Amino acid sequence: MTRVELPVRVATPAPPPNAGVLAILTEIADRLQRLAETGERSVIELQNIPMTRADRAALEGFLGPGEVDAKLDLMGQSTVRETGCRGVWWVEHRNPEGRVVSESLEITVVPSILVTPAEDIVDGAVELQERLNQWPASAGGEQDET
Amino acid sequence: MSLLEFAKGPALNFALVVFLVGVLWRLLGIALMRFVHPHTEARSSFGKAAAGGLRTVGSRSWPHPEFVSRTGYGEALGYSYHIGLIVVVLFFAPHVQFFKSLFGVEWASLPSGWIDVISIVTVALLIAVLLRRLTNPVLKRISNFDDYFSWFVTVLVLVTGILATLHLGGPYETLLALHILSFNLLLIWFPFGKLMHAFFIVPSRWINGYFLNRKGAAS
Amino acid sequence: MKRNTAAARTVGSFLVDRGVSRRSFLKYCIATATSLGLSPMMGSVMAENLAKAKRPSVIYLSFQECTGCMESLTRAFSPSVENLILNSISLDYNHTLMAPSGHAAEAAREEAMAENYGSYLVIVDGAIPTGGPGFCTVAGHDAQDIMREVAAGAAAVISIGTCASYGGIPKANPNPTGAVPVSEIVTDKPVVNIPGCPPIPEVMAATLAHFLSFGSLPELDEFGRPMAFFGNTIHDRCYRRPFYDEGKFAKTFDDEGARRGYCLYELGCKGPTTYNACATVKWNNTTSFPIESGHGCIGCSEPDFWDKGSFYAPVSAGLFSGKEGLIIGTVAGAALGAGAAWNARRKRNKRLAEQGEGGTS
Repeated sequence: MTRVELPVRVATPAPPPNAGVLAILTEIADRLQRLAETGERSVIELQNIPMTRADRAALEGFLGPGEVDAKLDLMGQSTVRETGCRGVWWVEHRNPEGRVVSESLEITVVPSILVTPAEDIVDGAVELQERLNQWPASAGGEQDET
Repeated sequence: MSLLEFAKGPALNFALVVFLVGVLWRLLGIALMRFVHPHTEARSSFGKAAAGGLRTVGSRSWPHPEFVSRTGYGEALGYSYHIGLIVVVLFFAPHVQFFKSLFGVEWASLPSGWIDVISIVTVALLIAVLLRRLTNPVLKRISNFDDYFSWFVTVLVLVTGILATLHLGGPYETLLALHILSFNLLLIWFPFGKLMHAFFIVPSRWINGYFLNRKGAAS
Repeated sequence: MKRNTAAARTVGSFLVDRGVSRRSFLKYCIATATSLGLSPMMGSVMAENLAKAKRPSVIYLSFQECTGCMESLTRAFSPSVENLILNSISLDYNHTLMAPSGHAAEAAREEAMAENYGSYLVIVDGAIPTGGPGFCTVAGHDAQDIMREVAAGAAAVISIGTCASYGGIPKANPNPTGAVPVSEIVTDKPVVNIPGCPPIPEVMAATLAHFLSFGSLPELDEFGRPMAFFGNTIHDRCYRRPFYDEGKFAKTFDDEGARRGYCLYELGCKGPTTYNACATVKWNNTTSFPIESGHGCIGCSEPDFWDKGSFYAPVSAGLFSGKEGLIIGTVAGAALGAGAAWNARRKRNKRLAEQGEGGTS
């Protein structure tokens, strides 16, 4: 009998979370449940929670990597990543100097920063229409000539 | 002027002057008194008697082998909390800086984590000391206001210091001010109560030993 | 100076005009809500309210001051939203920055007050002298009178810097002009203190954003400072704090400890008793803060910081008033002791004389 090499990679186990990290994870689980049942979105602010680098790594490791990794250029970079626990998003905002000004976990369908503001949609529609209005006149003219 | 400036400034200055006046008054008042003239014939020379006095200072500071089972607990408690107090008072970095501002010399300090632990242990020991005083019938009978108040001001300084470093119960500067004010209270009380033993304990043991040795009595 | 065009009437449109996208604005509001200790969820509410908020008319009064505060607020490097928020105000009167002078300048102030009576903001930098008329006048009017008159129609007063907040250096001992903080003159309006010498611009911007979004001042501490920024001591948030805990101190400004970045407690750092956001918000677009540059905190955001002893004396050092007290104490103590002993001897001699030499004690 030969051993079959399965294309399976065993995930390296995340470091065991300590009591503080466990408390945050329990809170996330609780809120995720509420999101599923009532659609209530919520945010856990991470900057003012005292965590060591190891705690942070443990939290990140436990939640795991997800499918979405968005980068936003908003006068300083922002990153929005969905974690392996779907519905839990890791949102980080940096200022133009690269310092983290806000870091939070959003338990939601899609983080508010990714949603296009309603006014931008209105502005966008108007702008596109204006551009289209300029185009047919010249395009039509070219077609007539051939 | 904030409470902290008051504590570090006028209150501290006043307390130091009272301490100085009181301590000098009591020390000189006793040192310059006429001592009882010994009527017995001297069996030892001055040098031998003086050395015997020093031996007495040592022997009376250590449990007598015969009574160690009865006195050992109290003596162990006493030594432990005194050592705790000395370490906390002399080797906490801010205290070293305080002494530097007063005397102009400084020495090495210990990490604040050690001091936190030692000071909490010292408070626990002092509580044990109080419980012993309250439960031991003989000790209780011979205790007066002086004993309890001297215990109280010592514990007060320790507890306010711990609260200040751990930020428990208020903003740091207020707790620090209360710590310094309680230390000022201790300074003022010091010469007039049993805390004066810090100055008296060695000379009084020595003089007893000296007279006993002069008479040729065993010490 | 005044811009009341339809396009720039609200804070939101002002920012959009300057190329700030709505998402960038939302991001700023999320970060500001976080820094104010609010839930990041409030960032969305703040963004919505702030975008709609009318650009406030601001009257900026300067009394006994050095203009350092205004330098701090106006000298920003990058076009951050903070700076734009600071710029979004309609600064209708500031005698340092405005183009008009003399009667024209005062007329601009009166016009702004009349137009926005009850809703304008007053920013004050500098202490106000009460020791006599003429110590500080603007256009012939005494500082106290101007302060009272302008505050009467204000929605709120923001004291910028330590002088306006607590009296600062003008009030330093012996306070020759009888300088007082704004809060002693204005007692019937909300007053927020943003102390510091100078104050941190981000704190000013966040306080302004809070006022414009929610119509109220953020939560204040006992000294009237925004709790979110003045809730912690410099020492507790200092990156050198681990060295304090380990007992590692710089002994001089150029020793091995100083080079290794050890704690500056022994060199007089006032971090343990100073409440400000320097250690977290930092200065000059997050470049650093004084301790990071190797100098201890001087406690500039605390009342009477100028009169709390040397900047280079440790927090735990005593404030000794001089050697006179100790000398007098020594002499008095020695005299008392000698007197007591003499008295005891006298009594004893007397008793011995009465009882004869054979008497025992």
